[in-house]
Amino acid sequence: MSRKRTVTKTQEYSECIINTVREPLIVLDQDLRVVAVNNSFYKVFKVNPEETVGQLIFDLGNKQWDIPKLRELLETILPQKTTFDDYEVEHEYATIGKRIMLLNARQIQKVLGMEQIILLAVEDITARKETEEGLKKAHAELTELAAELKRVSLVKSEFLANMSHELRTPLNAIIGFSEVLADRLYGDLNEKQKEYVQYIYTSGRHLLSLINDILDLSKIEAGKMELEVSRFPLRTVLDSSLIMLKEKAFKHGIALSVEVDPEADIHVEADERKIKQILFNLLSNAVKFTSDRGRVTVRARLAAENGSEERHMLEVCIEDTGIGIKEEDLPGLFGAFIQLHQSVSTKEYEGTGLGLALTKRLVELHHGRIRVESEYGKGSRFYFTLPGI
Amino acid sequence: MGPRILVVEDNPQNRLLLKDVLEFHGYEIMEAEDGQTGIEMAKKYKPDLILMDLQMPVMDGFTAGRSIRGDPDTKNIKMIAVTSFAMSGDKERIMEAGFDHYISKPINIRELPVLIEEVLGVRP
Repeated sequence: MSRKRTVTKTQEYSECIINTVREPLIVLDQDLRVVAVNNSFYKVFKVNPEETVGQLIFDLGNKQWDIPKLRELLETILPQKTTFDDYEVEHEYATIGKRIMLLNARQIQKVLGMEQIILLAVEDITARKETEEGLKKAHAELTELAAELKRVSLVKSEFLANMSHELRTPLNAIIGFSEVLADRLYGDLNEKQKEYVQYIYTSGRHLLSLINDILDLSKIEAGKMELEVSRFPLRTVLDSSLIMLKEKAFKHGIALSVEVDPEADIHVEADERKIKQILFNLLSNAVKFTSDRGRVTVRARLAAENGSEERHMLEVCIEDTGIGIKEEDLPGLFGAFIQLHQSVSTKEYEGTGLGLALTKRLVELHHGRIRVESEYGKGSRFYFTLPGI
Repeated sequence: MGPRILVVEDNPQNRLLLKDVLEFHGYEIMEAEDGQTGIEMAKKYKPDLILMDLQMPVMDGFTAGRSIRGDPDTKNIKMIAVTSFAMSGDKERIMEAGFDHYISKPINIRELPVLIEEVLGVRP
């Protein structure tokens, strides 16, 4: 094979390679004249092959390529270093506008029958930079927004806590004086008066439980609810919570029962008062929404999913044979101010509408989870998990 | 008349409520409407027990409670705080101010006389 043929073959081979590369690539000779460029270069920088090969790189596209930083790279840096990577150049092209480019340069001796060539890869990172800038801006905005939300939430919580206090003072008088009357500390009342005083008293208590729930919710949301953790047998709290509802259940002929699996008959580590609050909320709902001669059952077992962990998770289920919950009502069930069955007389199912929202948050404060299964007309099952010991 | 109780409470209705309930149970009641007056009356009349609201104008119950505990003339008077905040840490603050006990608003008028008997250690 002649030397000339070898050179041509090598050139063909080289052109093949540079055209395979997706980013714009230029091959320059030692005088910084263009020996070859790949198709991508033509496409990205919108120059013609006729005006490119054989030209001084700085003269390309009507001297649009006469970029000071490029001159510095090719004339000053490269003669000393032979390779240079990630050289960022920003330039305003007359034809294609502002571009940010990342340049990689290699100096290679004695190839393609030449003393020296320079390979210059020009990556157009304008779009990437814009995306990065956009992301940075979005991130800053989100951070600002998050801080703002936190401030708003704090102000809201403080407002609620203050409101709760302001509401308690008059409530103290309403509840207290109606109790004084009901207890006949200063004399008898007639039947009507007794009835009315009872209404004032129960309304006052209702308002109080609303305020307490709001205060608890706002405390949790402000991250100010602290748990007083102790160790106690799960069964004890289940039993004592049931006792609180015994009378009401009995009145309606509702059968109340507890079933604790032997493996679940263990201690839990939790805030006892809050666990009672959770149980009381779920149980009073169950009793409230179960018709006469129905059944409310509390079950406790080890949660299967955590069997291997050192610390067992207990699952408590409160099951009722009550009116159930419509499927479309299930997703929003644990939101605040939810009272379903609006069509049913509100007096019959009186509640604060905050009970389940509060219950969910109390469970989550204990790193537990709450869920519900229900069949409309048949009954509901509320499950929550607790860390056992 | 039975043991003497000083009721320090800024809200007139709630003051009347406490007075009527406790008089019914046989106590002798004195009233003050802010912490400052409370301290002065405690010094002057030396009641057996002080029932003190914590949130009051002029001087709050924490300050008044500490002052009463710090004064040799009044340091042995039993004190019960009446609180309407229920934030965590309140209990510690109340005890730290020198109160023997505390009750939350709204006051349960059936439980209050029981608590007072317990704190005083005597029946009226």
